[in-house]
Amino acid sequence: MVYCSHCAKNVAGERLDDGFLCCGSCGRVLEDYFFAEEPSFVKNAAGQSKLSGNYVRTVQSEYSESRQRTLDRAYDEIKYLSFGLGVNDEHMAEQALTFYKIALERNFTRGRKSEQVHAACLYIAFRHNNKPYLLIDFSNYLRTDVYVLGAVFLQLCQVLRLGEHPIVQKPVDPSLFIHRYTKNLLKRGSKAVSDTALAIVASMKRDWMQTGRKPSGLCGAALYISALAHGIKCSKPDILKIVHVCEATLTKRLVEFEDTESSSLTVEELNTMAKEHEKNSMIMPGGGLKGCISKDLLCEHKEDSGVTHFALGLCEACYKDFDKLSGGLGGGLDPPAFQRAERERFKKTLPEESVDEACALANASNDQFKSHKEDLHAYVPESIGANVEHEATKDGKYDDSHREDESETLSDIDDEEVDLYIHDEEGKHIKKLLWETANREYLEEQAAKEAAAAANKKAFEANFENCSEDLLAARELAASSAEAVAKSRKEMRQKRAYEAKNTRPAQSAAEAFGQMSNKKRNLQGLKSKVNFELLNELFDEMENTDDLKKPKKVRFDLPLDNDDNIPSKVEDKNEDEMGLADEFDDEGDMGEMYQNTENMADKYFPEDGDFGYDDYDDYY
Amino acid sequence: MADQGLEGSQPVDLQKHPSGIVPTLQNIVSTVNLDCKLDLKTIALQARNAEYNPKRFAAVIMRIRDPKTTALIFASGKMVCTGAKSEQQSKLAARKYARIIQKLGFPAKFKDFKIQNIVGSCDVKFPIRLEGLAYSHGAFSSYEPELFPGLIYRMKQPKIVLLIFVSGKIVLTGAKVRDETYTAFENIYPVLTEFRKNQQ
Repeated sequence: MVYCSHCAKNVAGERLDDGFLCCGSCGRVLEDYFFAEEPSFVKNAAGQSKLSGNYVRTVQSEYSESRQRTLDRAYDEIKYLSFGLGVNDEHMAEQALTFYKIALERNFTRGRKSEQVHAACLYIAFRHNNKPYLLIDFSNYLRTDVYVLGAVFLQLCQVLRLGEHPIVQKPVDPSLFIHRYTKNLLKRGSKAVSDTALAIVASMKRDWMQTGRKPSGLCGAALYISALAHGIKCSKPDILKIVHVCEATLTKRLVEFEDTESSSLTVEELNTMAKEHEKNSMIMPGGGLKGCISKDLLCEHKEDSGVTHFALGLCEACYKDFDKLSGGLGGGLDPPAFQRAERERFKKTLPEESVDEACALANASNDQFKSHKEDLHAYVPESIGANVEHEATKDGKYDDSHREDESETLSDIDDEEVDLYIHDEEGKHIKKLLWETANREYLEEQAAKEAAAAANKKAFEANFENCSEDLLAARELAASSAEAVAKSRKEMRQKRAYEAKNTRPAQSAAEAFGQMSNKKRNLQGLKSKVNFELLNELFDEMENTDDLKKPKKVRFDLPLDNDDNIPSKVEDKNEDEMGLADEFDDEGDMGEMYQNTENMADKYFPEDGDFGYDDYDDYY
Repeated sequence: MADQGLEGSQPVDLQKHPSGIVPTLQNIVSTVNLDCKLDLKTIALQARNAEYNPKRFAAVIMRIRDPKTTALIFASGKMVCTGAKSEQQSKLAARKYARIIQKLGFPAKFKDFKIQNIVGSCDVKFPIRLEGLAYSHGAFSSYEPELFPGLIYRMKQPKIVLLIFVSGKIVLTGAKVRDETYTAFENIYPVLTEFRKNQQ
């Protein structure tokens, strides 16, 4: 049903051959197009029904689905990391995600653990917003080496072009961490303890204790002193757990602070001095900066036209920040590292005070200088040395002609000295034994590799040999011979099994009955052997038969085998009466063989005779 | 120490060293091509001063006493010589190693000798406020006390990396020519004097 404006009512629409939708009543054309709007489904190769067509992405989306999933996961990880460290501000995570996006576009995450990249991005955001967290806190949370994390952080700053940005230009101020550490130590936090600790840190700055030191060590020492000064009972392990330094570091900082003048002040005096310094912080030392000639602006504001140079290449605001952060250039003690260096220099210069020692030292140095010169003359000809130094000074490379000349003259090296470094035969032998013992695993691995290579080569050759016809024939011959050997071995095994079976003593009534029946057979055998005259006649007939039929010598060989077997059977007979049973059975087998052929009837009798004759002789 | 004392006793050329301080060369790394394939096991077994552990590192480590240096000798015939205190000593040591290899029966030559790195050090004898240097020369400085106690200064011209410590000791590395080390130190010295500790 469609609505017809002419009829002013819903009518039945008709779509004729031309495709137009017309009113069934008045014939007005209602639609002149033929588009399908319902969803259609098609079957793909796997047989599944699927909505046809594709979703067209809008211009709003910059990232692919995979990239968006990566960013979402990174945002979640960064947020968990931030919340885990105690910062519940989501703006930090958003800012860190911005850094992460840039790093991702520069392929910074490739080859690195993503959690370390997340941590580095979040650390930059914390630095930018003056959050009191150090790399050691991230390292402790992630169970990662702090220097590995630091390397990722420094490389990320390079990738983000932050080398010239104040985010990482300005060093970390230890004062930033005092409140957080105090809260961690005392649960509730204490303003008095924090203020005293801040005053101690400021004093440490003025005494040049901060420069080159980790902020956590200074904060730990200041917090420890302040807490004890305010009567709070805390031990060094409590401090160490919070600031993540070892006890030796904390002890060292405490000893260094003890050497300063501020260590002898009371809490009130310390606070008073801190207030005075805050008031007088802008007074520049009178004679200190006279030597500064440069008037160029070097700080971050150097491109601002309205800002003028104040001191040390800094504008006024930057100089204030610098003075507050570092404690300024004037006053205080020398830094501890400098004091140690001074002490070492003093120790070196002390011997010079003695005239005799000075003379001896001078003579020793002169001798050393002479020997040095002699060495130069001995090992490096003056001309070559001069050329070398000259060319090295020029461009750090040597021209080819000089190179070729000198390569041929390695003979100028002292042979005696070189020979000292080379083993004789005995030394070679001993070192070989030691080396092979020390590197047994390596040698075994090498041997295994060589064996594997040899096996591969052998297999290759075997495959190659298969193609040859002669080798095929040889292989067939080998196979047939192998089969023959196997058969003979099988027969021997059967014989042995049979003998072993027969030699077993009777262990039951059935076996005893069997033995008795065998005895009867033995008696029959004995009777057959008594006919001596017939045996002799049979023996004579056998000889004549052999003479008449020469081609059948093969038949004669077989009885010889039997002759070989007879002595063992006789021995069996001597041991027990079972041997006769063997004899009887063998005879029966032979009879069966010859009954198969009619022509062999005559042969059967002579064989039997020969068999009986041999037994007869052995018997007597 | 003798070299440092020697240089100290000599009058310094103020035209070349306006600061009056001459950096002392501490280490020189050089490379040379012996231009023949080497059997490292044979070298290790025949040379008294060689050690070779193929599972750990694929080169023979050889040392000589004068000049006191260490060489890495690879199967490809390339050699790295470290530990010398001057360019002449580095070349002399490399030629001695090449001679030892020749004596062991290999047709070693001496090609493409090149100084790869020179490390120098000196002491300006006054404390330096590293934070100020980081503030004013932030484009070239990297000062992260949590990671390293010194300030890493990457000079552009000449291209030298300096490690500057609060005690006044300076380390210069990355030079391929001795003069680069001297020039770099003369460039940084005025900046260091700006941030030295003022005496009361």
